[in-house]
Amino acid sequence: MIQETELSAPAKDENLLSVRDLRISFVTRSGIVQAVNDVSFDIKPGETLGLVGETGCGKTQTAMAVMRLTSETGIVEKGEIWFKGMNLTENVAKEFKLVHKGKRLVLKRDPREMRRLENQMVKIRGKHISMVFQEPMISLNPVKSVGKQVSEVLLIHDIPRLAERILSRHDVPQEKIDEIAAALLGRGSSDDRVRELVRSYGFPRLEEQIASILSRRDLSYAKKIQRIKELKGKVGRSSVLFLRRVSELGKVPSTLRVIDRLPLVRRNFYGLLEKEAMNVSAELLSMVGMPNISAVLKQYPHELSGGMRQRAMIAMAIAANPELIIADEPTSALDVTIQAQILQLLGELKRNLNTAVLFISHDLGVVAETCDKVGVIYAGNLVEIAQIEDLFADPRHPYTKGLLSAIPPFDRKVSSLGLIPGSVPSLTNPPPGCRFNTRCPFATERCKQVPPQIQVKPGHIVRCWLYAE
Amino acid sequence: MTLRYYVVRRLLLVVPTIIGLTLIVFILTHVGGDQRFLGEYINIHSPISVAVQEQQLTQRFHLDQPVIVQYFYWLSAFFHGDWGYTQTPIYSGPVSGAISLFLPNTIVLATLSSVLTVVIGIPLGVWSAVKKNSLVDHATRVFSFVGYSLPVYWLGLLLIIAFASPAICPCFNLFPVSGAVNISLTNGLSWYQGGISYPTHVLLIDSLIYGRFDIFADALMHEVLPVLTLTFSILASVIRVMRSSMQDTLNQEYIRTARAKGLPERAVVNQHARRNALIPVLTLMGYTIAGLLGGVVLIESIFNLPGIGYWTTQALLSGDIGGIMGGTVIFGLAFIFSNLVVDILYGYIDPRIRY
Amino acid sequence: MARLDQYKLTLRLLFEDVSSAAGLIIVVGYVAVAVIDAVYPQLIGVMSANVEIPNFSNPVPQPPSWPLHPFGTTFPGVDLYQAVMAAIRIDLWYSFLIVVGGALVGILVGVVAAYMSGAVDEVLMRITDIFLSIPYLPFAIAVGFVLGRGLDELSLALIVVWWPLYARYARGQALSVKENAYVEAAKASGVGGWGIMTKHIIPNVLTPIFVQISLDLGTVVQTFAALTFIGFASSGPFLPELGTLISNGFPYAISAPWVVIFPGVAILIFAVGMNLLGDGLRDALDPRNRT
Repeated sequence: MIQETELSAPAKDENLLSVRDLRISFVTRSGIVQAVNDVSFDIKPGETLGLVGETGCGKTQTAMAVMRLTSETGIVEKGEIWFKGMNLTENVAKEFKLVHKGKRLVLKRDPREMRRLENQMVKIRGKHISMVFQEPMISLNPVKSVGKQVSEVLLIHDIPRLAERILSRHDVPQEKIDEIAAALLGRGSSDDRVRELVRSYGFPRLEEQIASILSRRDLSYAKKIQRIKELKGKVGRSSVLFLRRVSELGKVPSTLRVIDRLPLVRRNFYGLLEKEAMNVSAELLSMVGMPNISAVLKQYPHELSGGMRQRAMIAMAIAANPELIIADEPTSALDVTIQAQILQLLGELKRNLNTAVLFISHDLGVVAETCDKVGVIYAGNLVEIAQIEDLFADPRHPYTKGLLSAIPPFDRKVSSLGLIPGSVPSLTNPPPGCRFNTRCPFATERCKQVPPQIQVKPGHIVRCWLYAE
Repeated sequence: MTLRYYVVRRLLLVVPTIIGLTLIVFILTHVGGDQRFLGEYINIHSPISVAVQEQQLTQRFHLDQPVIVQYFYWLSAFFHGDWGYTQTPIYSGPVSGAISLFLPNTIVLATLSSVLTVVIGIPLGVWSAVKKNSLVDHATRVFSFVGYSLPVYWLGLLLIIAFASPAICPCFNLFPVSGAVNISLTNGLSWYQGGISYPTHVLLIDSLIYGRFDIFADALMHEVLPVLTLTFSILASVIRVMRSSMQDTLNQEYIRTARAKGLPERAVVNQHARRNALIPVLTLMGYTIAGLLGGVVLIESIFNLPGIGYWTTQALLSGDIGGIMGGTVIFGLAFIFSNLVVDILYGYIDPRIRY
Repeated sequence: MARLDQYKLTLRLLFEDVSSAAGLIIVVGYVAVAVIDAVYPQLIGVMSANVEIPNFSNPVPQPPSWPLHPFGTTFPGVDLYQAVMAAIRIDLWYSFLIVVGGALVGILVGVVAAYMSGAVDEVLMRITDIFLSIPYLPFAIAVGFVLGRGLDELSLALIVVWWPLYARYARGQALSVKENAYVEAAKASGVGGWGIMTKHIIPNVLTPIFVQISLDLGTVVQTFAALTFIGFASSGPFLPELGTLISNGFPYAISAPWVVIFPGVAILIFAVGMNLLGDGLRDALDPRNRT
């Protein structure tokens, strides 16, 4: 009896993201392209999962599907995506219909279902799941300044925080600020008693601001203390009322939504929020190691280098403190030295913010550095998934073994590198059963049927008939 | 480079362009040799004999001197406001006088049409692209396609026929089809003589100055059909370009990023897509404005509005070279100026070209 | 893919889309009328293709009647159907001349400017810019006026007005082609300047220009008719031409609208057909649709 491994029921477990039997297809002129075929995986909170595979194997499309950013010709034919116990793909089949138009199949979508699914996703994107794209030059809006693009995320998702920050600076008495500054000067910022002091004043947003000033890398300690002293800032009465209302409601009250940004009064209302968003953006840019922050905020994407642009994109991704970041080949468009810096940055952020990451790459080396768990994708199928050390130490699937043997070993000379003969099959007419059976050295008749998922070790699952008994 | 620097540089570019314009006009007036040139100015009905006239004209235009010198004289006359003489049925006198009389009306027509075009065209183009393949989209596309293919003066004629003959359409007499104002209203007014109103030469403004709201309303009614016709033909190409540019923009990667940030679709369109989509529209704005200025000529002729286009047409029909060249100069200047405005707008919207 | 296969693919894509197929049919129809007018006009009922035949015994425009005057008559007693059919040839002929002439001059200037670059490029582009600083209709009026007010001179004037557009366009295309690797390869293997221009640059510039031409033809026909409507060549004795027909009919338009409607519809349908065809060509030649 073949023991297909049962994956846990998504709604009840403690996974952050659960993908089950996801099938994504694209309707094209030449037929239906089955880009993602019955892919399943989980990501726990704080965990980094890597998806590796060749170009065109469907890893990017999987990620896009999680964010519901699949292009117009793509459909979720089957499967489920669960995030924090919520089914993102609920009734997704109702959205589309395949109709025959002469010889071709044409996609028709139901606008109401589309809207429903979109409305659901809009609440999640940016705030709970955010994304970093591959090519930062074309992924940033060329006519908007970098500062504005980062601030945008905050202005959509985190307005109460901005309001509270302003209010905390308004409410806190100057003497208390001076006290804190003196304490920091005397005992240093890592002293626990100083922390207690700051916390005791009961202005949590203030604490946040002090902490971020202290963590900035581009200022000297003396300058930081100076900045902290200057934190106190009063705002006008009407502004205070506005901000308090915003903080209570959790957003700008709908009645004020247009008035607060009219040209002359803007300064005291929405303008304050925008300015504060810029401040937070500066802090975010500092977190991602951006040089020259005050200049960069006003600059446009084409004025930045590739590495800086990618840092800006990462800043946008972490701005609203999402639980999951999807990074789609974030370093593939950068050269190797910058790549190393960005990967180091991502590692730091992961540790400091405890965000889960879905890391997509074609580079096994990169994945080895950054991920806890790795899934290997071939021609739309997830053929193997395991903890990172386990995959490299004990690869099971023939494709994985082939991939690993193609990497030049660091410690010895070899006369030739392992080669996988043949080429990736067409995704419009894939081979029946296991899609690797056309190239696999161990292929048998059985492989013409879809192989089950077998758990060969705890946490290590392979989709291959070789392990079926 | 800041926007200011870019604007200054662009302004400086205007000067050589104007010089180029004068060069062309000068060359045109002297095509065919001196005899031809003189022939346009000689008045056979004048008591002065032809020979004497030739002599006078030769002196006046320095025809006995090398071409370059002639050009410089011409150029200096140009910058002093002396743009030659015109003799047409509606006006005879210095060209500068004709321009001051006729230009305001043309400006009114052109401005009203442009404003209407932008106010209707841009949102419609955006909407049509966002709601692709909807009823609005199809209707807009058909509408703009027809407008693009329709000869503008023919549309004007059709509207005249429709509004002027009771047999064709019950909309008879809803809007006046000719002229700028009902003559009976302006009989005996001190500030309206010979088809021209004073002091601003714009009937719509002058009537307000003198408190004659009935004349104002009537003049406005007279502008309705011409403005509608002109707008219709320009609108078509603006919608076309806006729609296709918006479609292209919505396929860009940064729009995907905007969506990934959690922006609702409306904000994506308004705050990210639209500005970028306007860039190609501005790029083609030059061509559109050229069409607008050409259309002005045709519309004024059909609807008998006393503007620059009308004057130019009259000059063509009566063989008046001064009028034609004056018209060319004005149209050239108008075009140069509007291109300047468009380029500045372009620099404002797209920071990439300020380098 | 071989050249012939590419043309066949283009045609196939054109016919797949209803609107561009319609455009193609319309344009082919007009060209057929023009050709028939030239060789055997009686085939479509046109007695004389070069001149309108007046009927002074009944000069007042008559409404359409079957079978004698399907489009009615216009002043002075000219059968409108014959006039319009004959006029199609005249208009098409001149418009074609203008576009081809303008394109030839423009392409030459543009390619030379792009290839030579440096001072030659600057000078040529300045000249082009100066021409482009005047809107085309008033410019055509001015040039046409000084050249003489006949139809031939008008065509020449329009060529003068139109070439800068093609020069700009061709230069842009040529510049991007010039950067292509195969031009470098040709140079490296010793092909001379002129050879490169004719064998490599021009053929690759031609395809997008072709699309531009087809889109322009509609505009040119309209502009040409507009200028004759205003008053160019109005002194020609009964020359059948669509714009002139409209302007001749203008005084009678209110009481006899058909004198203005039919010639205008003739222009409109051609413009529609040409625009549909042009759009269809542009979509068909778009590499994204050809895979």
